[in-house]
Amino acid sequence: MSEEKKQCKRPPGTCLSWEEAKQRYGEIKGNEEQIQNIWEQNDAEAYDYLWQCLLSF
Amino acid sequence: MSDMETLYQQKMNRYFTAMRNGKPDMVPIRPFAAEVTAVHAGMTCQDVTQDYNLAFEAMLKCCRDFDWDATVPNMVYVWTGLVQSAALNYYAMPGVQIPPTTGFQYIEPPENRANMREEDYDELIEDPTAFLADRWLPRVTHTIQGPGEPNTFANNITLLSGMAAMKNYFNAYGPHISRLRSETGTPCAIAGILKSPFDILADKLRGYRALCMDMFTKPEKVTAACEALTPHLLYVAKRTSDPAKQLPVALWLHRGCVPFLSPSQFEKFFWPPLKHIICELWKDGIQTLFYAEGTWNPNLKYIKELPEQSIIYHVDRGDIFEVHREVGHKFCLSGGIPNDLLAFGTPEDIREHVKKVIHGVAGDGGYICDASAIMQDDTKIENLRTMCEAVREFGQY
Repeated sequence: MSEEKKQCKRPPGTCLSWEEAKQRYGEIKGNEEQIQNIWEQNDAEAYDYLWQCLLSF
Repeated sequence: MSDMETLYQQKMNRYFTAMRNGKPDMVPIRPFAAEVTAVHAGMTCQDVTQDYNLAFEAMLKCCRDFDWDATVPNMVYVWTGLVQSAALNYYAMPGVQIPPTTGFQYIEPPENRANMREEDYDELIEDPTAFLADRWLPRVTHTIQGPGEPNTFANNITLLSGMAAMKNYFNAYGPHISRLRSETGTPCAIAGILKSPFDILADKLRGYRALCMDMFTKPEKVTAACEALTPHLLYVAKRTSDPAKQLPVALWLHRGCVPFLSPSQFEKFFWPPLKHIICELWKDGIQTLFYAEGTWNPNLKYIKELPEQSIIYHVDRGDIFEVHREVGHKFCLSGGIPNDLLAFGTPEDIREHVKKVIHGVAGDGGYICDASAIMQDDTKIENLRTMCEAVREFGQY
């Protein structure tokens, strides 16, 4: 399989990317990296739910 | 170190050595025991599918009563409490739609109600995660609404309760695995989940019959769909794998066996994305338990392409002696004790068959004894006990 074909519009582990999510807040006044990390950890749980339903149940 | 921890370390070393195709002190026993655990514990299929704590207790009892070297913490993996909370519509649940003494059933919808329609390929290929959320989940649940459909109370509650149930279930595994270790000295046999991209397309999306037509009418879409699923299945396999990289990710194989696919279909659709995933996992040091359900021997020429030790090759209906000749030098083998023999044979039949398999394939190590397929409630307890005793009798190095 070519690498190009494996490129994903929405990468594995992501449902709603931080770039999409932060539009809700406008300017981020503090440490954005920290906020982004926490967002991505929780977003990955939603991803897990969807894919675990598909794969395991 | 406690006696139980010493026992655990001995079993873990035995199991791990065999998985890496080495010769341990004796042949390990790793039964994939599902509803048979309920039979042994005096429970029903409903008990162990509806209440995972009962399933855990049934497994603990088996590990106390039988001399197993590794076990799946709960082989009756589909907890129907989660099925109910998530409102999944593709199961028949013991005690609900089917008798409490019957194991749960997966129901593949008819072609005209497939959970992925013929015209959905491009949407899946473009963005598999969005497809699952927007199209698949509404179709496989009783309550979840798709985009543009009227929202409902049941829709919202299903999303909350389904997520809560999954967290509840998965969080219960840690303490249970600790109990298996501290109370019975038994290691966990697997970690993580992997399915082949083609199997996911066949089992959960298009359905096998519709997919058979698609392979002729739109082969490029089938290939592209498998390729689109591949990075996600690889990601989930890695994310759910053993951090210590001792235990293999379990790969449950369904439609790649004979006669579901022709050799050319296997080579074209099934094998390339799956081979890619297995090789990528192995690059990270993660082994795959290649659970080859059905008859796979005609595909051994492809299996041989995989890196040495990258898989444990589980034999169901294939000729295990041929498998050993063809790939035994590269991979550990498991299985090979027929389920029909365990269900309908005599203890003497079992003893003779175990002896024959051990003598035929285990001489240089690299063999783990197990039934051919998952043991359900038709396995005779005395035959299961005889299988374990025979391994200890004939499986010493």
